[in-house]
Amino acid sequence: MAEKLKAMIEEQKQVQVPSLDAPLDLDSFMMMLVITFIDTELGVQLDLDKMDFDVFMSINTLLDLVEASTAP
Amino acid sequence: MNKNFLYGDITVRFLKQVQFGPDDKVVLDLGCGTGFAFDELHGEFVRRDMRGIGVDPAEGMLQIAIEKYAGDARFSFHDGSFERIPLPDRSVDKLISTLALHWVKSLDVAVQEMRRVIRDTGSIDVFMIARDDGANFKKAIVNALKKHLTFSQIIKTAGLVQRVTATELERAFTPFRERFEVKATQFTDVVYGSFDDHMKWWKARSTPVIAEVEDKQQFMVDLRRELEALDHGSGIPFDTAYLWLKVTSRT
Repeated sequence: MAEKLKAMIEEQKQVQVPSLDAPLDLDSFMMMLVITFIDTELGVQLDLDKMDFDVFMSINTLLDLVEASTAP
Repeated sequence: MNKNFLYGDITVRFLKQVQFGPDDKVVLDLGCGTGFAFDELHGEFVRRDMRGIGVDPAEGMLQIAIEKYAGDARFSFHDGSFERIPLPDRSVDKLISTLALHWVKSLDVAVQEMRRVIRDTGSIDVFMIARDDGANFKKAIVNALKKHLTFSQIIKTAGLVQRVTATELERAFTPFRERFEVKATQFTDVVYGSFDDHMKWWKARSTPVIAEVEDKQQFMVDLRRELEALDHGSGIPFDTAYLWLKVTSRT
């Protein structure tokens, strides 16, 4: 999951993400693409009303969110 | 489109570079607004004896265009959009569009409609905003919005327009590739202005966003602070990024 997400962000931003903790510096449009990607490619629907900009800090913070959203 | 502070001069430059061939008799302007492109190209239409058809979904702008060209049979204007072009199949020699394609809901449907109306010997010139348009300027706006809207409200506004790169735009025009060459090129520029200069175009473009803000007065104070922090002596910069798409027939 981490690699899929990393590859998508790297392709869209045309930059290398050096590690899963590296800051992503995403604009609001990229955030929307990430949310859509997580929904369509990973099958996880995120609740926008429970999210904030902080979750887009790094791949790891995004993975934490996905994990929390799929927890029973 | 209407000439505006941000893209007015760039649009005029684009229109002056559009080339017409001897067989171009019917020219369609998609998203014609008040007929700005025909105003700029009027001499060319007369010289080449071309007919201009303007299509736009905005009733108010269309009405201005209709009244402006009321005595000129060379031009006609119709209600429609990229996704619903009110013209028969293969009836257009040249399709032009300025600052409109990024507003479509579905780029794929728009491309299919353009392919339907353009003749196999025709050509297309589209000028549209690129994905990176105003990246730094928009960061400042989001910083101001964060104090007034939730994450959910802000993120939903990000999907209001199509934001594509040159590669993505070329990919979207795949249905043309069998008979046409497709080439999209990105250009960048920086336009400087005062807070008031920028607000003239930004407010017009951002009505749905501003409508969500409760304390509009405080929001404008916050927005001014964020944008003026970008000014290092030449005015507030807007880092424009735009695409020129050229589709030309192989026959």
